[in-house]
Amino acid sequence: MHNFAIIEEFARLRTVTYYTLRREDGIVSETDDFLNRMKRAPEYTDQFQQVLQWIEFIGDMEKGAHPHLFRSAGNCVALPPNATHLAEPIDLRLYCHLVNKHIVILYNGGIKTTRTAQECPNVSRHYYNAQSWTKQLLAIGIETSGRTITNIEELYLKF
Amino acid sequence: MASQLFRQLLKEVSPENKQYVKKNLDIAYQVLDILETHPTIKTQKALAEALGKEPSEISKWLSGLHNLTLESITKMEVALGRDIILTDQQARQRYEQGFKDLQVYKIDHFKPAPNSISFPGWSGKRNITYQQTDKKSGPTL
Repeated sequence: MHNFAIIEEFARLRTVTYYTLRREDGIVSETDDFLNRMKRAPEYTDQFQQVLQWIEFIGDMEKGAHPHLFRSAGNCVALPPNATHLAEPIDLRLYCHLVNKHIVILYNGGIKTTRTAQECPNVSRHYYNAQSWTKQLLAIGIETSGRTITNIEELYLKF
Repeated sequence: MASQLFRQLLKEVSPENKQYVKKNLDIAYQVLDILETHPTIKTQKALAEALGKEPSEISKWLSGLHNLTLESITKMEVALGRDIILTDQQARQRYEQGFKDLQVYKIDHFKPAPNSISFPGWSGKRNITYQQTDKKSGPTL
């Protein structure tokens, strides 16, 4: 199935502009869909709040979106970053495409319940979509000026 | 259009979660800053070697979401020869002393002084000279 997707600004912070994707027929963006679902999961409130705060701090820090602040997820990245020895493992995943240190495209995500994202009923769809969209965006070639994407407004993306 | 939902949810983040993420990111960025200016340890890989750790472990330490212990922070400080965390009191002591040592000792409106700093926006007639105080003999004019 093919759909038009609109690339739209999600949040413009001091150093980083976050973009997201919205299906042409969709009411909410991919990332707002993630936020809507996660805010209704009280057992993950702390993890969810930390990811939100993460997005804001990275966006406001002088160095911007440094790759080591994200975890690798196939051909894209995800939040939160890798960490070991935490009191509780972090199960939340928000997939994203790191264009450069000033521009990040946030996709969708969820709570990962299995060892790999590919086999998780919650996040596998978002994981595969993120892989596919990143591949398509890389093929198109994103042009930027400062903290702004200049050459893409409407994409023909495969969902 | 920017996400109103994101803005709204950010306001609901608890002070503890906000501070937890802030402290982790502060430490991660501070170490990256030190690596940028360090004479010999310039990469995470070099830091890993200095600490006898795997590079992947250091990468996790610096991910910003690692539950860093005081022990691991101290190990990095020793390896880098620099403080990663400064308390408010330590910072004040360190930088106040620095400002005391830096004295303006001569303002010459007409001719350039040795060690002068010129300000292109100014008329060129004014030179302010700064010199580090020599604690034993005082400033050399």
